Amino acid sequence: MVKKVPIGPFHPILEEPEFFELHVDGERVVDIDITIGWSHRGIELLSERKTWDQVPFLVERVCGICSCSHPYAYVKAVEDLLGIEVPLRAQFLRAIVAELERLHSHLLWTGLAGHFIGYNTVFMWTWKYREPVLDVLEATTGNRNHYAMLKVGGVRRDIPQEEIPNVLKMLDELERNNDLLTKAILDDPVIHARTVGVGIFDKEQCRLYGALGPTARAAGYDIDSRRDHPIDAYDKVEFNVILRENGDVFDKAVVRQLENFESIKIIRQCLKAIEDTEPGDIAVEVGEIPPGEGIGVYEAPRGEVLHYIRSNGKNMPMRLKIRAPSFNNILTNEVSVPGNTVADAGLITAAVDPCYSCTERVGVLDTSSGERRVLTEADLIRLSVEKTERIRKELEGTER
Amino acid sequence: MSITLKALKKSPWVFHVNTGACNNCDIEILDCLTPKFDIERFGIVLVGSIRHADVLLISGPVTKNVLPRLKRLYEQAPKPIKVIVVGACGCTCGIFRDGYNIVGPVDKYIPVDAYVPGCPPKPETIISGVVKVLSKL
Amino acid sequence: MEREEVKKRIAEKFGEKVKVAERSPRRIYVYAENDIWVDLADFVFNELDARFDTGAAVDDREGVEVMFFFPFDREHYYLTIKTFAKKPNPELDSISNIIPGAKWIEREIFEMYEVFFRNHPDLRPVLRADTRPKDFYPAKREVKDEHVPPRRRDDGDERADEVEGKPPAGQNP
Repeated sequence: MVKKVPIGPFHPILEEPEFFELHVDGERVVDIDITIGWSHRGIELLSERKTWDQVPFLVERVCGICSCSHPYAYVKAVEDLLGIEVPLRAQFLRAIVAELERLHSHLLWTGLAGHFIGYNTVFMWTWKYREPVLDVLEATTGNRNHYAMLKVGGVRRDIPQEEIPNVLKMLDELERNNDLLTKAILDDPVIHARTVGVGIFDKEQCRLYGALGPTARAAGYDIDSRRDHPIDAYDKVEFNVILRENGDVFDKAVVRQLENFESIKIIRQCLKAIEDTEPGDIAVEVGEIPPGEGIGVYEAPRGEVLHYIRSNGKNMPMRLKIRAPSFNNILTNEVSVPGNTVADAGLITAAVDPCYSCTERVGVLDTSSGERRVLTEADLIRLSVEKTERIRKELEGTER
Repeated sequence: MSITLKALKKSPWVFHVNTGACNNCDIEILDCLTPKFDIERFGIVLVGSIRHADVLLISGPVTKNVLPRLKRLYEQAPKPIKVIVVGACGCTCGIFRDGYNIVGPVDKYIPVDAYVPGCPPKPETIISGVVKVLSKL
Repeated sequence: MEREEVKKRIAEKFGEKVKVAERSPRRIYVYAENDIWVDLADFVFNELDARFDTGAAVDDREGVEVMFFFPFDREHYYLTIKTFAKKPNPELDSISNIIPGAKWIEREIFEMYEVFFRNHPDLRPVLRADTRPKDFYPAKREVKDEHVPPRRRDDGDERADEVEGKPPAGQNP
């Protein structure tokens, strides 16, 4: 007998609204129906009424966690239309801010996933390690998030030379802490049992659905826009692309943890390049934007962001198309959730790191009798934590 | 001061709802729980159900999709409840004012006790806002 | 597959029905007619082995220009296929039976521009499921008067050149 279990629009562990309706048979999920759009603010249409220079402030607020991604893709789209290059110092500055943002975003996700499984210490530790990154961002750009650093033709502000040693010291400490965290996650048998083999999304499915970012790399689908469509400083630094094979929740977590080390490597190389040169130009003058079209692509923490811009010669864009990576990734849940239990469904939908807020209750609707039972967020987390406890007891029992 | 009021002041329970925001204010609210700011030492706890809450934190410009649910949440909240709006979007709709899917700032539908502006407001500001509201009880 | 090879093979297979334009070393645009739309998408995705990315639409007053982006990652460029759906009642064939990842983007183009995708498994609005008025397509250039959101004024002043709430002549609406 198939029952329907709605999750959403305010998902228990994440901060953005989505609505998933699970069709369950006993404890197993048979089908899933996804509704999105709770945060639809009409940003693409709003951008047609702002001038070219005002749009980065608007698109920054598409998402608060990856708030450097959308302005970066937008300015690359306009620069693609114009066919210009930005000065070298600005290229390295952009890469530094972008990679710092990737660090804090991945640590944020790890904390939330740990909280859902029941490891509250992981949540507290990762968010504590995240704070120095935000402090560095505040010291160099002026704000913890929504930095307003990017404009068409370059960057708005320069990093003062005396801040660079502080940034390097923070990176050293973060590398040690991230190492500790990665080893703790990779070696824990309970986390293995909870996440290995759960929510599998394989390579062929990635190709058909257009999955992006860590969701695709965890399945072995080898795409990374920093290497494939390099912009600005990314073809002047060296880094590795992390690939795994299975495409389950464990691999998605491992990809994110290992990418932190690569980001630290990139920031160090960019800082060295800036330290060696004298402070110089950080932007080029941009006049009128002629009619034409451009595509701007950037690898955000969640995947590839694409902006398409069309101009008809006026001082406002004629059409701006924004595609956030979660638009492609959330659709993949319709393949990776069915076949798993209700206790895992929340974890799998969170593993693609959706950039939407969710918090709400779960309703269980018994379609045959019409009876309705409501589970709160605390209940859903309790289901998940109980499963973790069961697994922990089993493992301890088999060890003795 | 009565016993209920004293107990309320000592450990307020907070429920947080997002009405279509970009998420930044919500992350800063969750940040208050973490060891650097640590509001749990004041007894402030984030709860998962509106029925246990003493303080309601709202962020985001209200979109049309979310409006009926927001109203239902407010009706289900046990009164008296204090409502605090966090972020520029909740106070005045911010940069999204002319959108066709935005139906207005939060105080058009719900009586609000305190506004914490900023984009996003820092965690220290949010804690200060909550403490100011509670000290007026 | 390299750029020159791709351009040659597309021109060979579809002949007069496509026009290929190269705007910069990394951006190629292919303009196609409506009747070969699905075949072109199938050819690029399966035979030329491109990756499916996403789609977009632009309203040009005479019709809606629909496009899909297919990047070639190993060779570092983007191929965009475009077609023009004429008004009134713009219609196109859906490619989501070949590429399941296109389901949501076609729903969004339908919701914003009223482009009907034939053979789509589930064509309903994706972003505003239950609260939209039935005939409101926000991105279309012709919008009925009752759907235009009111201009909000905080200062309370009346502009001298405004007549009955309409914007002054010569300004973008």
